[in-house]
Amino acid sequence: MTPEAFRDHYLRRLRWALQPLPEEDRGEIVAETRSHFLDREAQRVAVEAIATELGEPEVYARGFLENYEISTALAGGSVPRMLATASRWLGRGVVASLGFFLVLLLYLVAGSWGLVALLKPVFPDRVGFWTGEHVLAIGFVDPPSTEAVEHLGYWLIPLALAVALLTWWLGTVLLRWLLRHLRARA
Amino acid sequence: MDLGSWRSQLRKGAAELAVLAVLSRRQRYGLEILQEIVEKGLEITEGTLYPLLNRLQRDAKITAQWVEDEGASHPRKYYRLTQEGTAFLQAMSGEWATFSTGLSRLIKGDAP
Repeated sequence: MTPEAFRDHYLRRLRWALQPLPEEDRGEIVAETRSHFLDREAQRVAVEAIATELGEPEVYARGFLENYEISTALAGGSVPRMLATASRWLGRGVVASLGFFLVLLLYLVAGSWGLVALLKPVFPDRVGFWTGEHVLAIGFVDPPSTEAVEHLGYWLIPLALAVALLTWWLGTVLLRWLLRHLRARA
Repeated sequence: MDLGSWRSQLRKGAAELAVLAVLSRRQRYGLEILQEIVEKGLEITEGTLYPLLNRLQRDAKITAQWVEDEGASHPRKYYRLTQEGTAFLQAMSGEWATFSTGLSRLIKGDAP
């Protein structure tokens, strides 16, 4: 195989591996890689050695793909998409895994409090904040003992909504930080 | 963690600062950036550098343009720092100075 044929073959494989990217980005990356090959060849480096320095096209492409995936998820701002993107980094480091589970926990807490706010008008006697002797309960509970006193009444709704919004916001801030952290290490 | 793995993490973390520092003096293309970093005794691979340049460009820390150099057989993609990139470099340099000074003192066992 001639050097030109080897280079073209590498660049074709790279273009193929970059398929998830928009055409303009693929073209830029392939053109820059071609330019890199030509500059290294001018320094009398063999095309095979240049390819080795870059890595297999599929592996080399991965760095661009991961950047793109995280950047578009962050720019879009959709929580399900950001979560789906972060989930693909599970098992690639302690920070990625712990961060993801903490984000999930925060969203779970947000969802639970949102549900409490929704259920209060439907089950006013079973959703509330009770205290009494041996009783401390908040949320949706079995009918508490008659000695327990409910404190919040319908004030539970704005309180639960505030906690839900706060934990949702915290979860989203942490998720965005996690994605930026992962992208820096991609 | 063995020494090789730690060294690899350290280099990966410093690569962004190294690239921005190289671009602070004048615009350069990928291979120039790579060779200047390697000449200074630091390590960065092609497979790390080009995706990093792509990310920095996406984050508007750097911009790029294709230039036909005189005597060159092909156009090259030249990168330069943006205002945002310059501000980011200054912030990173400050963090780095504090970090390296503190760590050096710890290693040498100096009094604070």
